[in-house]
Amino acid sequence: MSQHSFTVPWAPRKPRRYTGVRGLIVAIARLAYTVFGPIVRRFPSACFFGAVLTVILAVWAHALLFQFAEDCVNSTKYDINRRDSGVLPLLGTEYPLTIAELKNGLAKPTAAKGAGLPSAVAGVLAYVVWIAQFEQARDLAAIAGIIGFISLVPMYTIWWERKVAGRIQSRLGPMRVGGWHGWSQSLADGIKLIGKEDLIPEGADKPLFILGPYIAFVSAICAFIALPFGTYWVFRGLDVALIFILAMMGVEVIGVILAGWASNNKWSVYGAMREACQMVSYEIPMGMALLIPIMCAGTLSLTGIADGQGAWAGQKDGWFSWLAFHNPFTFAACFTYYTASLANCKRAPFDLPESESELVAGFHTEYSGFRWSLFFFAEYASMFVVSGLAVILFLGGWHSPLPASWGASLPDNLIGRALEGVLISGPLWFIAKAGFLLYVQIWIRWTLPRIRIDQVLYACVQVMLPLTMVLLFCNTLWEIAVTQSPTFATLSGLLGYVLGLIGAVMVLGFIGIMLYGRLHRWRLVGKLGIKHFPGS
Amino acid sequence: MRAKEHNVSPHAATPQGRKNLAHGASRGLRGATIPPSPVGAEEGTCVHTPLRGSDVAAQREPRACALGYLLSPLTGLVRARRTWFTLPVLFVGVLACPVIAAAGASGPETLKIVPSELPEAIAFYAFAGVAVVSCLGIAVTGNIVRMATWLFATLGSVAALYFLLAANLLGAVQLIVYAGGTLILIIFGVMLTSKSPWARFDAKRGELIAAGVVCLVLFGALAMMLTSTAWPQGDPTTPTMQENASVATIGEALLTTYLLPFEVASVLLLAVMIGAAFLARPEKE
Repeated sequence: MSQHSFTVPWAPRKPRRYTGVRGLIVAIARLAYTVFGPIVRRFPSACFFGAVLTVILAVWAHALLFQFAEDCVNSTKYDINRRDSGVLPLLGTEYPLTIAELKNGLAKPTAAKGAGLPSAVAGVLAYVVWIAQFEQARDLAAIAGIIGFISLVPMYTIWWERKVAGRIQSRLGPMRVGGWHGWSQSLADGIKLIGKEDLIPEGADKPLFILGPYIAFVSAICAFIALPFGTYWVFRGLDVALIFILAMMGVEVIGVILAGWASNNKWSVYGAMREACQMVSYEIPMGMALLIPIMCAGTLSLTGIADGQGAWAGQKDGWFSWLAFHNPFTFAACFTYYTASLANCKRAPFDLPESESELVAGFHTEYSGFRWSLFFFAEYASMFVVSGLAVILFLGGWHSPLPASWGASLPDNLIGRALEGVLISGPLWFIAKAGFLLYVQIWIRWTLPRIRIDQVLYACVQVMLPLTMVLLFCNTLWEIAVTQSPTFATLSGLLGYVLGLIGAVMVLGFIGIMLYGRLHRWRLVGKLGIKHFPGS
Repeated sequence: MRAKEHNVSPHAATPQGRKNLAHGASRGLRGATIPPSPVGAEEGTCVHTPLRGSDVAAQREPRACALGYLLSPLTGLVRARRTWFTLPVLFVGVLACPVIAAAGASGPETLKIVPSELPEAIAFYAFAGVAVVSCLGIAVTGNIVRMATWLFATLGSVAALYFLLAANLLGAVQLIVYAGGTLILIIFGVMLTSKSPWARFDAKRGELIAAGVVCLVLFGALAMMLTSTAWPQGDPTTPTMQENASVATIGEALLTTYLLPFEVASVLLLAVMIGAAFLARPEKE
């Protein structure tokens, strides 16, 4: 008998054989594990950062491809004979270019682009561009991107949250799966969740029980329709983007309420009621706090608001042009909005709907498996959305703290544009800033205790609402009186610089505390932690 | 002896009991009792009430409101709780709308669909179908929370229609005010006030007739108005129409041309708020 074999009193179960599509999926999964397993085990951190870099480059390549297709269709740069003809059935698109036209046009040398492409390359590229010229292809790529993003964000935010929670509580958090600091822990959890039994309680209202998670998840995805990541990085640049996103956040609550109600469990109903009550009350201060930057920017379009902050009124540049430092009231509104948004996506200290210690798990007590994880996808996606809104409305959107005017001096080629995207303004900056705000949400969750429901409502109705109203009123006066008058314009500008400096001191203080903590980490955790910390 | 006892056990005899055994929660219980209702129920009153409203509702008179009696076949289906039959019928009803729309391409000139607008037309008729079907759902459902869910589908699909017609502001406002605000308050109100989670909406026969008459009159008036109005023709995607539908234009119109109605509406809301505060204030001692 070998070391691992032992007898059990029951008949051994035969391993389950998967056939058909499931069999294919299982085969792919096994193949992926066999191929990537050893590599991940050998170079865990390189795999993680390599994957991040690959995703970024792939997204950029996709953007370049669609830009190229647009150039082919519109400009005279690529001398392609256009033929005005028919309409593709069902797609409803006029097809501007055929494959033959593309092949000829790409291979032909012109004055604008120099020598033509080799015919083999042009032949392959023609097919790609032919697909990419359709709006529907762009939309499909964008939808795939949104769904991919909305799947990755919760996975890695949950992993990050567990790591941060671990560090705050002098633990390590997940360390094993994937090698480098347990980076694929959430992936393993996801696979486990898919494999779990799908339980629906007997007394539950079955259709509503099933519907609840979908409403929450789909509306969280829908918020990304109007959320811009960059000037051109938006699925649909609605002129009412802000209202649309707020509406989607409101609709998400319906899913939670239905789930709590349909579970037929008193804890779930308590959770749902708290959610409804918290949501309808905090929507008001949140919406009013959002009105303040809108009043300064003069548009509801998120792209317009963020682009206006690159070079505010043509005077300030970079960090000081951000709306948070525009006047004292936007500075204060930034914090009131952030507090209300915590309540809005039910994060601690406002996580009463799912308070584990009193209501088991609140509205999702009865959920298991993938239905349960849909709620978490929705929650973490909406955390990203509210952070993104804060970034766009207060913290300069996708602009870096560096002055936007520096970007103009960079050369207009591929390298210059890449440098501008990394250094001056681009989706990476948006994601980084929103990621920082996500981190603050996590930090708050593991620092502050949960408050009681009456305290939640007191904080909303008697503290936040009057405060936001005062801010809104004062901001109106400020915008009418101070900004418009030449006498006070200088004062207002100076005040903006002072506020910007306060903000800078806060960020630098944060970084300083972080470095101090890192230098003195032996005080926080034991030897085990030091051994596993990066760089030690 | 043990086997005999096992035979008489209700768990093994009734399907309900077997289900409970599988569930594990009520393994020790004799009768198939499910834990009492979550809200509003006083202790002891609800323990013996079957929670599945369907069990009792199937024997009761079908209490459907308004259109329910006008649509007896559908009500009958709902009464018998043949959801496995009703849902496909509703689904086919939704799917039929795009087909009708496609058929409309060969119909009269006013209904003709340009091939390049076919995707929009299909989406439009599909959402219109969802709106109609979910409206019927509100009318024929007895359970209030399910009614609210149907209402959510109606409001959402009407918002989708607005978006398809390039009225972005109207669509977003529809979602934020009705779906995100009013509907949540309705469900919240139901949760706070209802005595059982399976509270059904009961309407008397007289009320149903009155509601039906009102519905018919309203429907007739709307149909007359729809057919007699000369609707402005225009492509909503043209820059002028986009400009007309933009937030800036609407906001300017509200604060200049339509200032009086706008202010009257806000005074009305203020009155409502004062009234609500008056009703909700604590009584003086």
